[in-house]
Amino acid sequence: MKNSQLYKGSLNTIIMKLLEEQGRMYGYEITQKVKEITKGELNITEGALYPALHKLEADGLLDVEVEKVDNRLRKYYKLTEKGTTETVNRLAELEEFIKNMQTIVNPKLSY
Amino acid sequence: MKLTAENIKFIDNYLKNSEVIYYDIRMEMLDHVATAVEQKMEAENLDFYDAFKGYMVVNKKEILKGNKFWSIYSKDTILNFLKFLIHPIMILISVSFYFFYKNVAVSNYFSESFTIRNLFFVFMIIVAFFQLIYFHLILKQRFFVLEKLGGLLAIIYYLQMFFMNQHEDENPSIITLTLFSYIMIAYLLYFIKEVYKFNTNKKKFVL
Repeated sequence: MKNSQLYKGSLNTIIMKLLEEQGRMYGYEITQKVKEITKGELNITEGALYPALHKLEADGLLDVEVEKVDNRLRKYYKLTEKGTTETVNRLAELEEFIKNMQTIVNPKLSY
Repeated sequence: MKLTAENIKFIDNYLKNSEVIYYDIRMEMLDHVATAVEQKMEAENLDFYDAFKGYMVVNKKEILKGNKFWSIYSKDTILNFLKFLIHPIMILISVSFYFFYKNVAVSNYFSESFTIRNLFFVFMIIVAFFQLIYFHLILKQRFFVLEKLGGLLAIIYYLQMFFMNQHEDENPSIITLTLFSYIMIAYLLYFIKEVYKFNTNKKKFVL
């Protein structure tokens, strides 16, 4: 992931936000969607994505659906009810964080 | 361009040979690689082997990095088990064990050569043996969601070695006996619960 230290803390929120918008997605689709939205600026690596997805699933924030697609199994992720509520909280937290960072980094722009 | 069943089998074997031993983890990696290869074949007009080779040269390290994350001694597994331990029914069981050991001198029922410590050990060996048979002979595929439970058993075994063997010549205290009986019964119930959950969702993992 580009600038990994800065983005790492927001990876779960990014995933949850995407799932909130798209309904359900599979791993590869998430990486491509992020790349597309950020015009290639942000690249979520497999090594970071799957552990994050499994952690969210273990925490009860994501649910999975497995389907047979083109001779293989595909695991789709979607938000649980708890996950949907948590997404709202995490997005609010992230927005607050961005606002605070902007105030620190560029005080003039924040007004 | 869609991959054939042979192409999928090829990727699966490749991942297996790259030590992605757990079927449930490999299944997801396989779909990731297959989708990426399909897109590469289409975008660059390549055949399967060239697209696969090209993709893996760049991404192999990152793909397999995800595999290293999965350890049967994970913090999450331990935390989930600890949460299970504080379930009200489990607390009730622990209290029952305490009063049982307080009122019954269990050590009197064991000989000098076979103590209660040995009983705990035998219990764990039986559970571990059952798991080995279940994982390797009955399921025939290795599943991370189940094998991590084996890691948990190993941790309990080490804890038991540490606490029970501290005072070799003494009988274990009521607290120690309660703690280990409780943990073992809890482990057994937790294992049954996870196997039940796995079997309910098994269709999710098998083609």
